[in-house]
Amino acid sequence: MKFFNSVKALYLAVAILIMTIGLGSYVDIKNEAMHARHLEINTGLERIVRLNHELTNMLLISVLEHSTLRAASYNTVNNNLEQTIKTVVTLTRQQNLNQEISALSDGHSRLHAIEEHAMKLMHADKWDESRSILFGDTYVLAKKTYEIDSETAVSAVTGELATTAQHFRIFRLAALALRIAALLLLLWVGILFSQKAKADLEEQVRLRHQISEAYEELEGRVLERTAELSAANRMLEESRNRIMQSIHYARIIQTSILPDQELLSRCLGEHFVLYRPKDIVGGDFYYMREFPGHFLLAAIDCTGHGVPGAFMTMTVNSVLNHVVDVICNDNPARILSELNRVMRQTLKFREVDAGLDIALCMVDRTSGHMVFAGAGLSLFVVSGGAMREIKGDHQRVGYKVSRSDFSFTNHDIRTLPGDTCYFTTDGLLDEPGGEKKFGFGTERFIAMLVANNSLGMDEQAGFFGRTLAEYRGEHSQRDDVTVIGFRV
Amino acid sequence: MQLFDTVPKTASTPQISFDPDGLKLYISGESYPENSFEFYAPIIMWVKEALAETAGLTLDINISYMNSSSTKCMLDLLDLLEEAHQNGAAVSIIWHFDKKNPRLLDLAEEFKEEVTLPFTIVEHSD
Repeated sequence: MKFFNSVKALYLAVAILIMTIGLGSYVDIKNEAMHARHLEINTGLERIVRLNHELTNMLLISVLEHSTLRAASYNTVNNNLEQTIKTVVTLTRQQNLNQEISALSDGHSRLHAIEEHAMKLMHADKWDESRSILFGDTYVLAKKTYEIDSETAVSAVTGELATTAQHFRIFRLAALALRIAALLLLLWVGILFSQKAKADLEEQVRLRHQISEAYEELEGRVLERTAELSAANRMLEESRNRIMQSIHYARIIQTSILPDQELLSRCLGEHFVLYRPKDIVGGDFYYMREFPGHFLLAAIDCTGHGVPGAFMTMTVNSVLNHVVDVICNDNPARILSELNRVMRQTLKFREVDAGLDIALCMVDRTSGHMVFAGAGLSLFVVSGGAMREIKGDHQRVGYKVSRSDFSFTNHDIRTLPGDTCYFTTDGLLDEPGGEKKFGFGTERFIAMLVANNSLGMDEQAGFFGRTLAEYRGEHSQRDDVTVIGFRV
Repeated sequence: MQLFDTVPKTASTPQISFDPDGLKLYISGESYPENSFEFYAPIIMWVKEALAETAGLTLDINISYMNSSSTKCMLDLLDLLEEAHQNGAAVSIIWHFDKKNPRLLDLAEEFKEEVTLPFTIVEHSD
């Protein structure tokens, strides 16, 4: 049975219980009232019979003793008797006793008529006539009939009482039966409820079990995935570590081609080098060669950055060394032409094209005379608070489109003691900054050089580094940065 | 003319799209891919085929940064257009740059020197 129906049954059982309790109380009250009335009727009937006897005795004694005094209280007693009859009539109005009671009432009227007649005769001193009436058959018969009627009425009342009591008993039994039925119903509902509660509990336990099983399975899967991810991460980490170790080692090799500090200081005097590959290795490098009467200084930006850029620097360094050692070491324009020619011979690119930008100067150590040649890069000279930019040729070195017969341009540079000279590769000028990531730019670079010219070269390097970091902000470096500065 | 699928913009590569009605190839953004030649090879191939089929093409360039290998690829594109121009095709270049980003003006001027086809440099300031 469904829970809904058992709730209905519960309501029904409670309703029946309340109803049967109400009915039982009603029956009890009714029964009590009935008993009380019957007792009153019985008393009334007995009283009627007794008073009747008294009246008869009163008259008989009077007539025997010839004394009317004996019947002096006849009327009083008779009134009493009639009053009692009225009371009984009123009490029995609701019962099926009308016949018996009216018979009783009629009997009394008949007797009373005879007795009054006898009384009148007594008062007229006709004692014998009165006596013959009172002892006559008519009166005796009426008297006898009346007594029988009285007894009939009593037994009728008793009978009815018994019948009513029987009805009430049946009522009570029915109420009891209903009550038992209701209790059984309650019991049944209780059993249903407890069965349902038990089933619910079992279902809950089953669901909890299911959930915990699913959870365990999920946890297992998560653990499995975590383990897989950890393994993958470990592999990635290992792979990354290997690559990084490899690149760090490559950096050591790349750094080995850079001129050492001692050589730079000996040739340049007060100077700085800001060398910041975008990745650990890069396509930028700087170059210095010392000869008895002069030295060469170059800043070089090879195509690409990172590992491919670094490969280019190694190649360019070797080719440049070859040109300087074998072909020419004092004419920058010629060196660039030769570098261009040999590079194009050395690198036989098919799918790609690569080359380099270079700023190269030769400084005569005795006269201080300087010759500059450039491919895509400039020389910046700050003299007396003013800036000169000496632009190199547009022609780059080593690319497919770079003509082998191209003649680069030498620029004679006049400097005064205290002037400062700078090379920079594209990296610094293209450093992203601001909302739109525009490059740092040549104008900003020149302004920075002029404004800080009075600072020592080391301090300038520190300041430029900080300015650049500030300009870049949250953006990441786009290209390798190389800036070289020295004071004449 | 075959369709050109728009190349979406990334941190290090520009967006490239084609307007078939105006016969305009738009290149905008920054250009410094790890391997520029690989990135630009299909573009150069497409332009080569397009120029063989159509009488005109305009390159509309709005680049805020270009590394040197991208510059090389751009020069290859310029060579293709210049060749078409010599053969009488209606090709042109419109180069946009921001006033606050003058290095791109320098680059544009350098490119302009390389070719004889119509090359318009448009300055923007906002």
